[in-house]
Amino acid sequence: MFKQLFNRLSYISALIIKEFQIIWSDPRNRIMILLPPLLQLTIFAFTATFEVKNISMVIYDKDNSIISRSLSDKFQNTPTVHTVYHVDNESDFKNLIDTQKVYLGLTIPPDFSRNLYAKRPATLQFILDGRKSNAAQIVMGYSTQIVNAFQYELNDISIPKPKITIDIRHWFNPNLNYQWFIIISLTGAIATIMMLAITALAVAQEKEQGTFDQIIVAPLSSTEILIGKTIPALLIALLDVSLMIGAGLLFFDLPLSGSFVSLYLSIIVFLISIAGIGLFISTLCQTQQQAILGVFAFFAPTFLLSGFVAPIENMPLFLQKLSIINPLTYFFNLMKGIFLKDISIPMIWENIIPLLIISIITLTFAGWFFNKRLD
Amino acid sequence: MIKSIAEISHLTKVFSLGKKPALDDITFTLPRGKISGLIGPDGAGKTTLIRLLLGLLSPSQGKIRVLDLDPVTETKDLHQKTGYMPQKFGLYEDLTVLENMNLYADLNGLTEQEKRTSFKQLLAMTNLTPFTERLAGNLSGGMKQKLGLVCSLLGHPDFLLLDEPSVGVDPISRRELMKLVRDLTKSGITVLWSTSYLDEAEQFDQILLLNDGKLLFQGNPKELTNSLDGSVFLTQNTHLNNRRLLRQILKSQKPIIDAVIQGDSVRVVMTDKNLQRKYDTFLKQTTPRFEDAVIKILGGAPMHESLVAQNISVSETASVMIEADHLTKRYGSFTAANDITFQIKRGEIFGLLGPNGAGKSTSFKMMCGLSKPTSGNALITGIDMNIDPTKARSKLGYMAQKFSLFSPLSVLQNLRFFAGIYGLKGSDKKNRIDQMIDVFNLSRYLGTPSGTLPLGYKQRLALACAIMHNPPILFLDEPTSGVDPLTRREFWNHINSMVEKGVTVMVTTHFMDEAEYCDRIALIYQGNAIRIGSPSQLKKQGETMEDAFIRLICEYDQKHEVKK
Repeated sequence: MFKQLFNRLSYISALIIKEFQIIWSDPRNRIMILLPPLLQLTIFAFTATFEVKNISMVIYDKDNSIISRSLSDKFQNTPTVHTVYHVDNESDFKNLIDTQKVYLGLTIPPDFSRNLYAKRPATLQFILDGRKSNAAQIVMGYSTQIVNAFQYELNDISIPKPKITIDIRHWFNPNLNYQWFIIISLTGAIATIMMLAITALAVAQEKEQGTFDQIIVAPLSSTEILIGKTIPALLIALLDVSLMIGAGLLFFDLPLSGSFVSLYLSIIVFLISIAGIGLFISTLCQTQQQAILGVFAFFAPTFLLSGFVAPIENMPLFLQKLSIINPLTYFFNLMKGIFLKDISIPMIWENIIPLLIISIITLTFAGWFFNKRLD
Repeated sequence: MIKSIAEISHLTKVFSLGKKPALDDITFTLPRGKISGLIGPDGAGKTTLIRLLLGLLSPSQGKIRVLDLDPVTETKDLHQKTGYMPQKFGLYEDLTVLENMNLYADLNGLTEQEKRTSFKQLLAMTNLTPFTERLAGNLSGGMKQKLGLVCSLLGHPDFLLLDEPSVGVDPISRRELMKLVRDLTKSGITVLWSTSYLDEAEQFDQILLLNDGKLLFQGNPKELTNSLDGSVFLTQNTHLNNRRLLRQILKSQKPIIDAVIQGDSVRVVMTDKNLQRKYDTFLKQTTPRFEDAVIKILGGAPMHESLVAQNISVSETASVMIEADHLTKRYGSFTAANDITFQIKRGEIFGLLGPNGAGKSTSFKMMCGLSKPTSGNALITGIDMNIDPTKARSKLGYMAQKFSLFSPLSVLQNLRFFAGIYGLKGSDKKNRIDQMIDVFNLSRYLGTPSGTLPLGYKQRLALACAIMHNPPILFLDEPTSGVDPLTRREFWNHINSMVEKGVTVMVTTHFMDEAEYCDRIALIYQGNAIRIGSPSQLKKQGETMEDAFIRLICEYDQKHEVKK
């Protein structure tokens, strides 16, 4: 029994060696394997961030009291605020926002300090540039923090504590480090694309060149052929993922709260589920062109619905339901969980089991279609 | 009016410095209104020459005048007067016949009036009128070539260049194509036709024989053929079968240029006339063929014995090795193969012949497990291909059309891969690979990517990969298409020597002379095996295999016409 199994392994290893030799034989292939993660990381290091720095703002202080001036100073002294313009009329204020010189405008009403002293609620008006909605939202977050801090200081001086304060604290990623979030998402995206490309395109290429017939005619079962295609793709995708994660840990201070074992177990199960989809696409395609279209037809919606681009909770209900069959959703859950909060073993299983089910279904389908397509 | 349509003098083309020239000091003229045939093995320089004549390449040395124009500087004028059908004519498979014609008419700048008249005329000429609404992708190979021809004729060219228009096309369609082009020359069009089918070349007015970039012969093919009158013979021996007899003749060191199997006889070409009396009184004189003459110019067939079978032993003892049992394949309402039944005995070469799209490939694919029959069984040494495919497949070696190798992998990597997927291991694997390198003379190409090998070596490597695991059964799918006649002889020497050791072979081919190597042939037409028998049973007195092929198909058509 074991001897027979060992025998079959030599058939599969021939397939695997061939796959690596083909990839290795072409320098372009070698570059294609290493370039995407390196390129993504380099570009990312310089640009990709959701943080907003170097804010310019304008303050129109109608109150012009000690309190209002100290609030202005508060903004002035915040490291993320680069320039503060002070104006004394509405039209200058409006002009600075219209010409996009500033993101944020703050108007302090004339009765601001009077209200505070009278222990009445005081208002501040923030004008945000809606053309940059994302940045505006973030800047608003900063402003709220600054104003809250200002309130605490006021308490220390003379004014009684306001009744309600908003205190937002981001758990697990207390500094709201968006880099971590993006690295994890990019890792998922690159792993998915690599896996799909190697499985779906490699089979299509062999079909175009007629070598696939040679393999079918050899004494190999379809399971063995599928394994022979999955393992090389898995190893290459693992290499890419490790590169990305390694760079994240080394250069971007990505924390790894959970264990290495659970991290790689999750990654491997996720990659296998994608391999099943890639192989399934390959059974439907005769040419590489069709395979590329197939890969994109799968990848674009999967990525959009994964929660990276927009929160899943904001999607219409039927799309939210769709995300239960999306392997990327579980992958992101696992990655964020393991990296940022060391989720418990049961929670890991909660996400790995759906991935396993997806893998089994897609691989079975791939194998079944593979046999059926033989006609 | 000029007499010749093209004048070429001392033409040389070198693609990269230091490399052997693709064309070497070539001089010839093409007479107006004639078909000139460009023949020679794959890689001889045929396509390069055609592209030079059209100004798609510029010559390294020498002069070219085509239609009294310089192809390099007056390309645009030249292209208005020429029609070109490349090897893979750019038909759009997802457009209909008419849409394709419209596209090429517009590209040639035809007016609506001109379109109407030429369409009608060309469609009638090619019998494509009933198929104008059919997608080009759904046409048979022969019809596709006809449509390609129609499209290249739309600009009313004076000079038509056809690059291997008959590759992969069955004999019937090939004859029709030849007749069409012959009719064109009557209206004054000059044709240059490149081909690797020598029986086709025999019918041209003039032949240009290229080999390795050199022009070996220019002249009338019939004169060349007739020069061998009296030196071609057929021989039989009651004690030896044709394969053993051939091997003896090849070993005999007699002054022989060529020896091949022709049905139950062996065809022998002697170096000199009237030599036969000295050697063998059993030799029966026969009429020479063009191919005999070409082999003579190329320096004679390889006379050494194949070493491939040295270590082959077939342990299978079953008398019936391959069996098709009522094989039927339906695609929807279309029946591609209908109730095909045959048995192939141990040590037999069995050929599947038939026009394109007649069900030959479908039957072949069902036998080697690439396609599942709708009903019926394919049995390999008694094992049902559908019940235990892995075991059945381990019994067979398969050589695919166009030698499907892993082109980026080196020769050695390919050998190792195929050894691996057929379960060879350890010293056994190493020995077999060494043997294959030895037998097929691959040692100087071991590190070369198989995609860049010369075609003859690709074929050798493909055969080596197919037989490495010592299979008792060999499946060959058009194993010699595009390969020159000398390499083809060598290939069949290998096959014959394996068959002598008990290997069973099933082969598909479009070369009718190759069908002569088969012990039995199944002629597949309209999904049915319309005749099964030995080549001599299929042929009538004096017929060539091609004649017999066409006659049998016409008879079948007539019989079914009457029934309807």
